[in-house]
Order: sequence, then C-alpha cells, then structure tokens
Amino acid sequence: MDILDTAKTTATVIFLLMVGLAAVPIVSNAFQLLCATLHAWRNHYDLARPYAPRVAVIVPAWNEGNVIATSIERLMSLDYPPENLRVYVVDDASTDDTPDVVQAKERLYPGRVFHLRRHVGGEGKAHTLNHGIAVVLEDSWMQATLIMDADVIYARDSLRKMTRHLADENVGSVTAYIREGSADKTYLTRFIGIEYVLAQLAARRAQNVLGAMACLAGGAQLHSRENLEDLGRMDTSTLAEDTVTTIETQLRGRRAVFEPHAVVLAEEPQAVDALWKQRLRWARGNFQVTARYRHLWFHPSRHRQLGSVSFGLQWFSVLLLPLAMIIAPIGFVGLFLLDPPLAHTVFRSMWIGAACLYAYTVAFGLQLDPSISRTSWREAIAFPGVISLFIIVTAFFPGLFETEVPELLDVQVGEESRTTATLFIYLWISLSMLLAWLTKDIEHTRVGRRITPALIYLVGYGPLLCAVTVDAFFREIRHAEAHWEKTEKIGRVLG
Amino acid sequence: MNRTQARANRKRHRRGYPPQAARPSAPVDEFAEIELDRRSELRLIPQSLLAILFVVTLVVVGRLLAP
Repeated sequence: MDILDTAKTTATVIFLLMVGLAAVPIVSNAFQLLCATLHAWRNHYDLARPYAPRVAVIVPAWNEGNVIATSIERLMSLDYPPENLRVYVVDDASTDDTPDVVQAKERLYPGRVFHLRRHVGGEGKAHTLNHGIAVVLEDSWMQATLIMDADVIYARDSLRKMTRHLADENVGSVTAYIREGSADKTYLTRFIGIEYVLAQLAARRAQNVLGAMACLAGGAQLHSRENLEDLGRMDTSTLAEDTVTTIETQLRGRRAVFEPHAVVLAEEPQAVDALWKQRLRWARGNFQVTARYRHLWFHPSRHRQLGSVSFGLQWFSVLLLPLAMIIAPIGFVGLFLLDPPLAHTVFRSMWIGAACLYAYTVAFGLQLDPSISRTSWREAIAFPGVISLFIIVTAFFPGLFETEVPELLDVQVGEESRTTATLFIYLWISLSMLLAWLTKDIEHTRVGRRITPALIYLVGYGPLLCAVTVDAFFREIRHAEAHWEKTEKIGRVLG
Repeated sequence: MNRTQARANRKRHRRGYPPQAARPSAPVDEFAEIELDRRSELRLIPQSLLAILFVVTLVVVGRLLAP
C-alpha cells in the first residue's frame, strides 16, 4: 500500500512538473509583452541622429521579373539623397525576363542601378547575397549596405528612419517592420499580418529593451560598412543566414536595433502549402542556429545579452512551444487518471492563465498597427483556433458544456460522454497540431481547397506554425536534405 | 503616396509605363521626426493599460456570469 502511495505521489509530481514546464512559454510571453511596453522609455531614439550614409542596396533576384521593376522604382523614389543611394540587383542566373527588366532600369538610372549577373545560380539566397556583398565591399563608396528581398516595397521614409540609428557607432545593423502588404488579402495573409504585428512590433521591441535581437528581417537588414567588413559574408551553412548574421553582429560587440516606424511591405504566401515550405525553412534554420550557438544560450555575460536567461527563455519558448503543447496534455491526462479534481484545478489554472495572456496579446496587438487591425481583427481573435476559444470558455465556466448547456437543451449526458469530452479537452492542444498538419496535406485536393480556410480557423493558425516546427525538428533529426526553396512572389504588394 | 496615386500607378504599370513619382514633399526636419517617433513610443503605455483593463473586465465579467 505504501509503495502504491509513493508511486502515485511520484507520478503526480512528474505530471505536475510536465504541466509546469509547459507553462514556461506562457510566463515567457507575458514577460516579453511587458518588455515591449518598456520600449516607451528604453529605446534607441536618444542616440539616433539625422544621418544619410552612402547606401548600397543589394537585391537578390532569381526569376523576379514580375516584381523587380516596381521594387527598383520604389527604391528610386525613396525619400533619401539620390546621390547617396545605389541599387545592386544580383541576378541569380534568372531564366525569365529579370535581366532585361533590370538592364532597362540600369539604362534609365545610370550610376544608380547596377545589374550583377551570376551565370551559375540556384545555390540559394546567401550565395547570391555574397556575390553582391563582395562587389560593394570592393568599392570604398559604400558606407552602409541594405539587404532586401526583390518583392518588398519600402515606405518612402523607411530607409531614412533606419539609417539614423547608424549615427551611433555602437550599432552594427538595423532592421525594419515587415508588414504583410498583399493587395488581394486572403484569410492566410490576414493571419500572417497579425502574426507579424506580434512577432515584430511587440517581440522585437522587447528585444530592443533586452538588448539582444533574435533576427533581423531578411527583407530589411541595414549594416554599417564596419559591421559588414567584420562579417565578411553571409553564412551559407544554415538555412537561416539572417539569424546567423544577427547573432554574429552582436557577438562582435555591436548592437542590432529594430526600428518600428520604418515600414516595409512584403508579399506573403496565400496557400498553406507555400507557407509550410517557407516556415519549414525558417524553423530548420532556427534549429541549426540553436545547435551552432549551443555555447551561448543561458550563459550570461556583461557583453553578451544573447546569453541572458530572459533572452534564452524567449528563444526556446518559441522553438520548444510544440513540445509544451505535447507534454501539457500528457500531464493533464496523467493527473486525470490519478486525481481528477487535481487535474481539473491544474487544467483550469493553466488555461485561465493562457486565456488572460491571449486576451492581453489580442487587445495590445490590435492597437500596434491599426491598418492591420482593421483587416485582421477576426484572425487575431481566431489565432489560437475557435475550438481553443471554446475550451477557454470551459476553463472560465466549469460545467457550462457538461451541465448547463445540456440542461438547457434538455439532453441527458452520461458519465462516459463526460469523460470522453474531458479527455478531448485535455488533449486538444496536441490534437490541434495534428489537425493543422492534416490541413496542409489535404489542401491540394478539390474538397480540401474548399474546407482548408474553415479548418484553419477551427484548429488555429498558432497550432499550424507549431506543427511546422515539429516537422522541421524531425527533418533535422533525420538530417533530411535541406535546400533553399524560394517562396513564389507575383507582385501583389499594395504600394 | 495616397490611394488614388497608387491606383493610377498600378494602371501605368499594367500598360508598361514607369510609376509616377510621388509629389515632392516639404523637407523633413529629421530631428523633429526622431523626437516624434520617440514620443509616439510613449503610446505603448496607455495601449498596455487598456489591454490590461480589457483582461480585468473579461475576468470580472466571467466571474459574475459563472454559473
């Protein structure tokens, strides 16, 4: 009997620990949002000064005939001294009309637009960028380099708002706010729009406050010449060259700053499959970066904020969120089998905590970018999924769906049905990832195409991103082939 | 560039013409702009407080409505 009691107590503690570990991302996210608010006082504006260095813009382009002309035109019309701006389009052996379009622009803007042709391409963005970086570093003209994507559209004042931070010599690189800017918005681009508000306007402000930046946006990285000379070239060994660049910049003692008022519009995937491929590349890149800098995490140092506990928690909370979504249900079900009332209390506590954080995130996030909020407020609400919203209601009002609603509808609910419903609710956060994965797989079928949007609203966009991370993890474990897959861009950005 | 100009430029783009540059604007006082952006960051505080108020209201209403 004593042995049984001891075993039961041990198991209970283990299950409680599992739930406790799964709650770490909630605490970490709450801390991150608090830090984002502190950006009101703790920001880089005190050290920013009007500064217009000679900027070389490097645009990697592979079959970007649809978008490159508009991008160049928008760069030419930036509110920035024209004599201090040169655009280098690195044509990665394009097979469409990209060379013709760029050469036409080169003739139209002599001495300001340059066409650099790689005759052997297809090696990925980092190799293409390195070709351009080598060219601009050869010339002493360049004082700063802006690395961007071919499809993005810079707001007229964005470059000026980025360069002012380089007036502080301690700053090595600056990034901007990438806003989803498709003219023909779909449910998916609206989800991405709100995701970018939270991941950039909130999270990167928090990283400014903590003094450690996780990643410069690939479509908007401004580097000082000194920083670029120090870095030498973009990393080609991982799928996340922008994250490696960000970390290397900071390891060399320079700051990476996020400028929330510099806006860059980007075209994002409209189908789950395309989004999956893009995010799989990002997530695999993040796993590779995590392994590469394993000596860095949770090793606090006065010079390296990247090693701080708070930054480490943020980094791993994003990376290991799917793990939390797997171990929490195991903990709930384990506790339910051993001690149902305790399971109920723990489940309610965690979900109420998560619900409060979710409500705060939505309310705060919707105020950060009104232009996105106007189109994406429904997606902000449905971010965790409609079914999860029902579970939140269940956590707030225990017995509502088990007793009150059936009584109202005059339906008898048996004990077995209650147990099944309880187990479903406890397991839901894991199931949601599985269903999100399934959504990606059925999207290409005729029926799938029709029901995919409804399924994403039901299971949630958040679980979809977590499912991608799980896929990335297993591919990394298997050492699956990793190649650079370009996200298709067709020029939908509303300039 | 306002919406009408953007629409006109898209039409020009479809016909193969380069977009018309936006009207030249008055020179920007960049010191004032930095100060403006610095001050606009202060908006994060009321935004955060409003979000907290929203959460507290939800919790209180939830408690009141709880069966």
